[in-house]
Amino acid sequence: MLKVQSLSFTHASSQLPALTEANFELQPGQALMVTGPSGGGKSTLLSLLAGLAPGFLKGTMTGQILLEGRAPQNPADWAASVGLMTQNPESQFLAGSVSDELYLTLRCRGRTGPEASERVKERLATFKLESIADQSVFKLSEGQKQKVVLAALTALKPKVLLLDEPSANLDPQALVSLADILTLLLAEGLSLVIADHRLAWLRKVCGQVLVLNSGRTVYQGSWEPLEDNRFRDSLGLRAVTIPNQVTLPPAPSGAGPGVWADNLTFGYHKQPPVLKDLSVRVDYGQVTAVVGPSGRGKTTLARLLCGLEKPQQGAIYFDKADPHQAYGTVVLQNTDHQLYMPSALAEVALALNPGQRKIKSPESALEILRSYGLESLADRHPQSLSGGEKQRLAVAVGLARPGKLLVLDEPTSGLDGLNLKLMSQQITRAAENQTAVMVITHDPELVSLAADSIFELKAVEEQSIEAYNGPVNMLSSSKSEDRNFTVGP
Amino acid sequence: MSSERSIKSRLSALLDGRGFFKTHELVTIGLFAAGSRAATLTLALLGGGMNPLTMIIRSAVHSALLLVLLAKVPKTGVMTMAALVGGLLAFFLMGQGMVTLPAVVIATILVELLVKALGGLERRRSLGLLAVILSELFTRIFNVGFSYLAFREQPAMVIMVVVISAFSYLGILLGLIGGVKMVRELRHAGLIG
Amino acid sequence: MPGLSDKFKNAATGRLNLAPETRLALTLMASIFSLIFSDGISLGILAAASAVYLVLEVRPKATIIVYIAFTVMATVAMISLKLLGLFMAAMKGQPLYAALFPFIRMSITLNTILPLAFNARLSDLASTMGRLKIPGLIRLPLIITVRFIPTFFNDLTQLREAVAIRFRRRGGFFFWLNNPVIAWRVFFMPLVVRLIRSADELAIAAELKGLSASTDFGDGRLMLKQADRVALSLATIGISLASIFGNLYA
Repeated sequence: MLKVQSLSFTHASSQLPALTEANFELQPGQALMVTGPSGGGKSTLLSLLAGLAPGFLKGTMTGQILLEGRAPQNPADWAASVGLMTQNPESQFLAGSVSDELYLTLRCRGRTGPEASERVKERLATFKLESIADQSVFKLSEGQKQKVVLAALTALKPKVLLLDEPSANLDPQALVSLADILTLLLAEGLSLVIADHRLAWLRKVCGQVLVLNSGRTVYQGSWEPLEDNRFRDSLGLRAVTIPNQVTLPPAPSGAGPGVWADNLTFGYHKQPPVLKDLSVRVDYGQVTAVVGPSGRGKTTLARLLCGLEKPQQGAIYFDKADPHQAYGTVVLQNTDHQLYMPSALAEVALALNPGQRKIKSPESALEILRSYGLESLADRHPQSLSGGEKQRLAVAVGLARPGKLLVLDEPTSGLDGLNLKLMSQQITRAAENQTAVMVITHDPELVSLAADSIFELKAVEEQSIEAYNGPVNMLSSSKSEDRNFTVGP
Repeated sequence: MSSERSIKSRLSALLDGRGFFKTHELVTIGLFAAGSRAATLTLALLGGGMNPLTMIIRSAVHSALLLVLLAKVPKTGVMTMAALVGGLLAFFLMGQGMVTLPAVVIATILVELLVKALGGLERRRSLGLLAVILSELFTRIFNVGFSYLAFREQPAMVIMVVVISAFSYLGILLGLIGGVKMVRELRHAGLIG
Repeated sequence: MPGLSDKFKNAATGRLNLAPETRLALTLMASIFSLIFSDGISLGILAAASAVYLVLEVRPKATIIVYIAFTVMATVAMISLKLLGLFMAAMKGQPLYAALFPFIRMSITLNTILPLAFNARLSDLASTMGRLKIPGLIRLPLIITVRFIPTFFNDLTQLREAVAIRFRRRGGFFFWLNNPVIAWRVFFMPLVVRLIRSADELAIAAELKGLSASTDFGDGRLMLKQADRVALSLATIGISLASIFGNLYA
């Protein structure tokens, strides 16, 4: 049993507490969902439950965390009883291959020999990982990476599992699969604490809810109060239920007033094609959502549109212009590689005039920041911004550059409800300036808020012009009952 | 006898990293050593190993990263650890530097002792700059000595190593200028303490 | 190699059935004796023997890629040497074969490094370092280092693509040459940021796994198999022959 009593924490670099007086109890087989706006204290709570303070997390902690009635004494005690899956599962891997990761996890706890080998085999079978046991962990999909982390964590037979933003990088199909795994782990008697912004998928997994805002508990109990829109909006929370039917027209194809891909075929390094005879058009002034399970070639399509890859067959046209003269701008998922300057203002100014050494005319850069509601961040260092702020700055930088097409790759992964709304407003505004906007996303809430049309990327054998002439179903290959997120003309 | 045992157990604890270096500090040292070696290897492959411009850029990247490491983990012993791990990595990645490694480590230890005598990195973080300037100078002197052993059939190559060392040291000094600004900026961004 | 029995070859991987310690010992032997030998015949024998070992242990494709990169570096070095010879008297009059010696030495080390790099599993490497009594203080950063290198190269690729999108049609190399400060920021700053973030992420991963410098990996005892004994004996014989023939024809 996990018992948290009056738990508070203040970071060494801050005067204000990151967490204040958290209290809850979890029995074996119970799951708690922790949510709240960004910076509310969710990650701090999980770090404390994982035993990362005071060794890694510097600051002052008061209160108690009890496991089976006693407080863990040292890192080894924590690691034996509690497992944490972080938002980026790849960052948790210390080995190269799937089976090696499991072996290394056991070896770190001093478990070797036949007993360890048996445990590895058993975990690989339980999580259906046998076929990829020798594969590099870096080449797996996000869903597979999470499975490997969970297999490694549960190999140590912990009592409590903590999951930080597990839905951030998953497509709806992988999310359904993760929910199934978590239900299985609950049945095995584990206690789960799951911190997430996306709420809908957790309704069947978690019986209890804890809402944190500025480190304080603002609600604790059942799901019912979260169904109140005003309550959720006041805290910047996401939807509790995803609308079953959202009516959106399918994206057009062929020549027209926009950017269009004409019969594109592409495959990587002598591999079978990822895209085959694919045609789609993004009109100026419109937002087109590109959806479909991972591995269907959504990011490949973005790379082709932005000139990072060359199509093996077919062509891309920009309003009948020479395709080589006008590529699109893409905002990639990891913004760390896209921000270079010492302030947000300098970042936009660099995009406006890449050759300048100093900001000569900050007015136009400030105007762009202002138009996207980012002027208060003008003097902040881009790397000191929150995830949502960084994403929005990267989009503003993308829009500051001359170009007729803006492609956004998963712009809302890991964002809370408030930042989701701000991002969708920014996207809509970009389209109002007669830019063609393509949003690659797994997030149904973003689709319903920002998209004008939708394009489902199907399996390669179905990719042809004819396949896109009818209504499309966003979660067509999902196994969930909640998947009827359909769109149609 | 008991004091001898005590010294032995303290030495064993130190070598096992108990008490002195924390896990996250060792991880940071390992990563910066790897980052520095991998970046310089990439630059060598892109621009040619003996291209003077590449040599200057490689050294600049190395010294700037070393300065950032000392700012992130301001502790006696960090430079020696970085030299040791970086040297072993250079051997595994490029098959280089195994013979010069002991000399490089000794040079770094001497510099660390000097820095400690001047107050230590823990108290005076600005000493990191001096530490990098001196340790890189000593390392180059040792490298020239070793090159005589390896290239003795080609005395001209020893001269070439002297020229290369001069170019790369120029890069080290340029990198430190960028490194000092970078440390200031990373502090402002809250990425290092 | 159909001639090699299962005792010498791992059926699953197709590589030689050697302990990591043996591969490490072969690398050290090659590295040290390539420095000791100073005549063409000894170095030639050592290079040939190490090349056979490389062919048995590493896939041809990987070997070719690494050797192309090595040849490019060596060629640039040779050209630089020749250019230097135009200006420096000490460089003139040296026979061409003497200029090749340093590269033969490097290739001998490379031939023995590659099998080590391509065939060692991380958990085995951790155990090996434990058996060799390498202190945890060195072992932990090295384990992390091996893990980090693919992440670093992935970061480099992502950075290259981000820069390609943002600075398209800006004049390429000459743009950066003309704007060195921006070049430094654009290419270097994101890498340093990623390095710092990766350090924090991997430190958390290590803490959560309970991995520390004093972690006992259950290292066990080193058991040299027949393949290890044969490989080490052949290496000793090869080095002896190289030494004898080198002295005979000196």
